[in-house]
Amino acid sequence: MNKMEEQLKCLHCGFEYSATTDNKKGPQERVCPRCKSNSVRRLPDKKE
Amino acid sequence: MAEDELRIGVFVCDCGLNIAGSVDTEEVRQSAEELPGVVVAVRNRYTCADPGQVEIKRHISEHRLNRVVIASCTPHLHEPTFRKCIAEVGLNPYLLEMANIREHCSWVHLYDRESATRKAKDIVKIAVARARLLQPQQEMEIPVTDAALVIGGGVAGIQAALDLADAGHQVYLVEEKPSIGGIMAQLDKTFPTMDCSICVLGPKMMDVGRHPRIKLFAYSSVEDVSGYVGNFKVRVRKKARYVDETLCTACGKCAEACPVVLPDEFQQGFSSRKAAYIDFPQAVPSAFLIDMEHCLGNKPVACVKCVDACEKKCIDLHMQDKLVEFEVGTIIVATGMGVYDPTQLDEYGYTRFENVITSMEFERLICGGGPTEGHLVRPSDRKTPKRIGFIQCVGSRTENRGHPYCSNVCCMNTVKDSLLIKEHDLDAEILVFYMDIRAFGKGFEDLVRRSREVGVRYIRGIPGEIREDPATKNLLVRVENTTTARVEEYELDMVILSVGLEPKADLKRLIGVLNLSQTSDGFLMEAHPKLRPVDAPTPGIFFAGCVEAPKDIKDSVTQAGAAAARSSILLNAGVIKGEAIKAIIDLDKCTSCGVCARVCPYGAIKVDVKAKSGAKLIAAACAGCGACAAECRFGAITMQHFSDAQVLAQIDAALETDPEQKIITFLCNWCSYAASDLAGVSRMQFPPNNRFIRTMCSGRVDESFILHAFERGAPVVLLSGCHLSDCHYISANHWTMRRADRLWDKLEKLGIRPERLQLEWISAAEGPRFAQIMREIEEMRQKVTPQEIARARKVLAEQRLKAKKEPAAEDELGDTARV
Repeated sequence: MNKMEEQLKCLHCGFEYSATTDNKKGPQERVCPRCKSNSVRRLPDKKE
Repeated sequence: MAEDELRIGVFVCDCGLNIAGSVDTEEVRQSAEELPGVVVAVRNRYTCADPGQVEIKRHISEHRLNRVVIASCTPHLHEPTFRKCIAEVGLNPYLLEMANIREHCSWVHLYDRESATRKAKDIVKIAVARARLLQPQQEMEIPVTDAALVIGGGVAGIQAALDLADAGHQVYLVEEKPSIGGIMAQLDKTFPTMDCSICVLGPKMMDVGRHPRIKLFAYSSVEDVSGYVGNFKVRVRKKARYVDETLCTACGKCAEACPVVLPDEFQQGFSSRKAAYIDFPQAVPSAFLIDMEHCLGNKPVACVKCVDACEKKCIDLHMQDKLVEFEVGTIIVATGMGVYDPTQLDEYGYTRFENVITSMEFERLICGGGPTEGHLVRPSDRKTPKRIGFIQCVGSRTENRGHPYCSNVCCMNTVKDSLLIKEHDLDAEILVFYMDIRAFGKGFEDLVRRSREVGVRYIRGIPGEIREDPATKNLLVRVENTTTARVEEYELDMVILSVGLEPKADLKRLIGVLNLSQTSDGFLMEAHPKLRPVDAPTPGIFFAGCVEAPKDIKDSVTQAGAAAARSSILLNAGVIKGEAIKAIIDLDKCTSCGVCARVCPYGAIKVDVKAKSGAKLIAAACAGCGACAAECRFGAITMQHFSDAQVLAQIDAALETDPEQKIITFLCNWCSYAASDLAGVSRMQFPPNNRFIRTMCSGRVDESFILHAFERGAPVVLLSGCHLSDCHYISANHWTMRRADRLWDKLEKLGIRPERLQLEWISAAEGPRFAQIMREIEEMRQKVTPQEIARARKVLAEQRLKAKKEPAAEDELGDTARV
């Protein structure tokens, strides 16, 4: 499974959003769509 | 003198008023004098000038200094100068540390002398802390392969290849098109001399084709480049021409026989070619090729008329691409530029109105070797146009549609074109719609004057719209003439859009292959815009021509000569001094886990995980990024000149006093440090609370550095580096991102707000963004409470003590081991 939906949070402005990442393409730069910061954290999967 | 006795000399530079204007340099000097290990601190007006260097040498001898700290400008400017200076009196050049109190301090805190002075004292303290732990390093001597690769066969690539070959070096010239010549081959005349473009270029093309030391790979592309300066391994894909170019005599019988008719790209689609074709009559190599995409087929062979027609039997419809490998010492990138496509500017009707053409299309229309044999006609009715308009800056100097930069050549190209039209028809009415005419080069203004003298009208204003009269196909151009402040309308027979230049569409691929960087305009970034304008930041790679920025033929040729000369310096030397900043592996600590080998972007570390024989370093291949040292969980790798101890000492020095007021920022040498320099050079002001620590790559920034900074009381830590696709160590900064992810999780588990660790990718061109980030991070710092700083310090101190007792097990290596 190359593409996966990730929950992301900007640690600069606090904006939370989800995005699809393609693992096949290797690491991709994360940019907050609101403030353009790269301090975007991939939130850990929530445990059931 | 005992060998371990530290004797540090600190030299504080006023840099005229560049530093002393906003920093009390005497106070900085006095403060430096008090630092442990410092035996002398001196102020100098211009440390980099000869008297300043003489002073440094005198103090080294007089005080038997064994470490030197220069508090002046960015190390990117004068680190080599001062390394050379101290080496001249016998000190190892790696025993120098620079404290950047100009770009990082005086220039960015121009109006707060007190804070700037306080910060400068800290910067010197941080530098001295590192200097105490500096060790002498030896640079490796690497043999250089006496051959060069030139990528791109336009005028710049041709000139560079000829210069290098004439200087006695083997040259491999790779051109993606079937012939060399580039865009210059398509031009009719050149400015300001008005001489025939192909008449000037043709002989040079032939020189390339027959030069004994130039191996030409036309219709080929560079697939892969590995290795390092002096020893690049190159793989070239030589695409199948389906014609043996060594046998082909360019008789043209294959084209006569070929039934497939296609638009001729060289003639800008104004005439046709066959599927069996030659790029243009003067092509080098002078050989036909088969456009297999449009050929009636070789799977199965469906036509073969060309094969039957070829007397020399040089057509092979089953020919395959070939991969060729060779080694070179240097590389010159001369792949040229693209031309802006104005289709998106709907108001000009390009492609909707037949008589609106681009300046490139005009070159073919007016050229004697063009589709009309030099008779200027307009496309709609093949009649000679009498009223012709040029619109300048199409796709240039615009933020919205096109590019913000000036394309450099369009003004003079239009002046030249206007004169060419007048040569054809003195009665032709020519209007040039412009913003400014930029005629800055030798002979340019004379040419503008000549065009005015023959009646070319220059109207200051860019038309907002072109409409077409459907009956006559004439064009109605509305423009606000800013000289008369009137809206005027002109009926013209033909309009030529003076289109700008842009980076080539496939430049990104080459950037990936060669590990290069782009400036914000998309062209290639130089090592230094003024002092090393033809060098790439990657050693051994040079630029020539428009791949670096739009430029005219003269400047392209000049730059090609410069690139060839720079390349020759390396090739003539035979050996080069290699980087001293390398990894050292401590086999006693190494567990052969293999993480370092997986992390290394250069494959410079080999580990036999099964044999558990320890990691082995291929020193010549190590580029010194330090990602391996940062990822090793067993402390088995030390980075020479950027050791853990040195970085930790810098953090301690930075946070020794008032840590809650300070932000620790890690800067990678190539991008974010260069961005900080740019912010300084541009005098962009930001708060003075940052303390910068330079590493060669953000991949070097160990998790322990960041945790150490928090433990010492830093409210916020910023980790910065090159954009992911621009890493100067191929992909070392990918590990930075993974590490930041790990750290954010870890901080959260420890009850420390992950927001206190910030990550930013900042290119060398992003000075304004750097300053903006500094301002925003200072706002964040002010929101971090003393309580959370204290709590983090306590938690991390406990964590460190616990970790000392329980060293990391192999199954706790984090995600690196699993990638």
